[in-house]
Amino acid sequence: MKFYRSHILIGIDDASLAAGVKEIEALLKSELQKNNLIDEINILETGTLGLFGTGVSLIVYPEQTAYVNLQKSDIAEIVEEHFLKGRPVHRLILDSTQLRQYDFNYKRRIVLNNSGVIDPENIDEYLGVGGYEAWEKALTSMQPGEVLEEVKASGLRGRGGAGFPAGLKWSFTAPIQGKQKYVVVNADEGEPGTFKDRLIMEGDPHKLLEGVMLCAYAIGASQGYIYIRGEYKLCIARLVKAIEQARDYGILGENIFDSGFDLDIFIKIGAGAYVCGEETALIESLEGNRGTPRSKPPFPGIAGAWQMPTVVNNVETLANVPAIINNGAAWYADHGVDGCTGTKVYTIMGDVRLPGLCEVDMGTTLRTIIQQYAGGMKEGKTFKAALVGGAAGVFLNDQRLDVKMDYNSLREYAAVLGSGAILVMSHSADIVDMLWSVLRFFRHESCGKCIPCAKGTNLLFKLIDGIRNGKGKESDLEEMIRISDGMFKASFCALGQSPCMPISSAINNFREDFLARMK
Amino acid sequence: MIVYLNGKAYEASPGEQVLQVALRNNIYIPHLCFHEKTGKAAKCRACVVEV
Ligand SMILES: Cc1cc2nc3c(=O)[nH]c(=O)nc-3n(C[C@H](O)[C@H](O)[C@H](O)COP(=O)(O)O)c2cc1C
Ligand code: SF4
Ligand code: FES
Repeated sequence: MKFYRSHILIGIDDASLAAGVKEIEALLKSELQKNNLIDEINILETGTLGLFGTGVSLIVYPEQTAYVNLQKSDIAEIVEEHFLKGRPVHRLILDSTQLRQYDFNYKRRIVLNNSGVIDPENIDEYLGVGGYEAWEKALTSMQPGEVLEEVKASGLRGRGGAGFPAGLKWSFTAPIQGKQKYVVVNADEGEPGTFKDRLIMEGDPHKLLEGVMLCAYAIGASQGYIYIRGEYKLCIARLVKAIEQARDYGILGENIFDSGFDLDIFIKIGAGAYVCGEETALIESLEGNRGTPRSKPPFPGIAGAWQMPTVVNNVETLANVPAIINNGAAWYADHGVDGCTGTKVYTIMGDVRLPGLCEVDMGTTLRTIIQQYAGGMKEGKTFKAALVGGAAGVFLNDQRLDVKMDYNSLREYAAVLGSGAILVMSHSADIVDMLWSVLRFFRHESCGKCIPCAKGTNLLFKLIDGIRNGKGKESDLEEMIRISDGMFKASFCALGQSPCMPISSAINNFREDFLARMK
Repeated sequence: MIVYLNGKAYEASPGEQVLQVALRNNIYIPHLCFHEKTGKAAKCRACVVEV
């Protein structure tokens, strides 16, 4: 292997691409060449570095210097000063006290452990960190039932929102004899403020593929589909590349590792409707139909895609599986809390100092997440509320800061973990405005198939719009709760059942904000 | 079989929809996707009632 003096890790994600990272990378290469350094300094592309709002950033190893907000004009200076003369350019470095505040928690990471470390576009790097070992282990030394039992025993629960136990879901589909079964990955990620699946697929696409493979083996499916949000251009490109590489290496295809097991994975690009994240609507869309939900039962596990037994799982759910098979259920259950094992990837936004992602054990409190992993509140701001779980989530006030974040504990407070989006608001934020945008979102995304939701989302928006414009009255609040409760009972799919959570939590916890608009 | 709609008793035959019983007895429940020729589709949720 070639020896390099330094490695430069460039974070390539949607944000840095928009900031022109590719041009800067090319410039960096040519500057290194000009200075005859190209054989000493290695440039590596990776997924997100976990620094947010920092434009084009790179980290230089071994010294771990992080350069942020780079412009083209900075590159020559960095190459000459840092790489030629060994003097870091302090002007461009992420302030070291600030860098120390970033707690990436790599030690406990399961899903994002390779993100920002390996080159996601190179299968050899994934293999180099132990990738596809679980797949090989399963195919060569485990029965499908053993894989299933391991996942069941691990306590892994779905990360797409509802938290349904993954092993249990698979166990409905596994025993069915049929000519075709499918694994479908829900990579639609439509929940506002959520982008964890994007980071997983951008940073470590092979891990998702390995998860799909293990699921397919456990349930006996020979085809996998990844239903991915159309806007996720970089994810799509990386997944396409990853699938090609896996086919080339014989990791996908026919008679994999001489086991007699066949599997191929395909990508289907979504067209951007929130409801298509609902699993039956997703299946309709996958089949080429208009994306509206189907009635359940029959559940997809019995009759899903093309009426065949189908397991639909979220990206993050499946990305947990390789580690479970590699290290065993007991190791996995050592992460997280009883009844809710493993880690959770959160995306944190709003009035915190370091917005972005973090992957921490299930059951970590909201306070710890904000203080330790998001750098605390912004200068001079104090915590007022957090919207946890996206638009279909709940507004928590400061009395809930020490609630453990896992599916069971949150339920005690009639709250949900949802997809893992956390929007932190300080006292300058207004809950009425927030609820207004949540309800506008639902009105826009209601598919119109059923009356309670089609009509209800419009009524709700009219009410909140009136309140926001100072034309509301106190009885409107009760009316909103009544309507959303009716929608919860009568709607056809979970989209129409969702508005009641943000509405009741906003009104119950922050009634003053609403009353202030009625004076 | 006897069912109660709005507190009053009505005769219903097994397999009949609540909606059918109501319509037969001139109780109007809004409905969209149900038609006597096609039967229940149960898609639009317009006819939802409390039971
Ligand atoms: C309106 C609506 C939108 C949804 N959007 C998503 C989504 O974007 N991604 C996702 O994984 N699950 C989404 N879900 C949840 C899925 O229906 C389903 O529960 C999930 O894919 C199951 O996977 P899991 O068990 O791995 O969580 C959505 C559900 C509803 C009702
Ligand atoms: S609840 Fe809303 S999104 Fe779901 S089927 Fe009804 S109209 Fe469509
Ligand atoms: S008329 Fe009853 S669901 Fe459509």
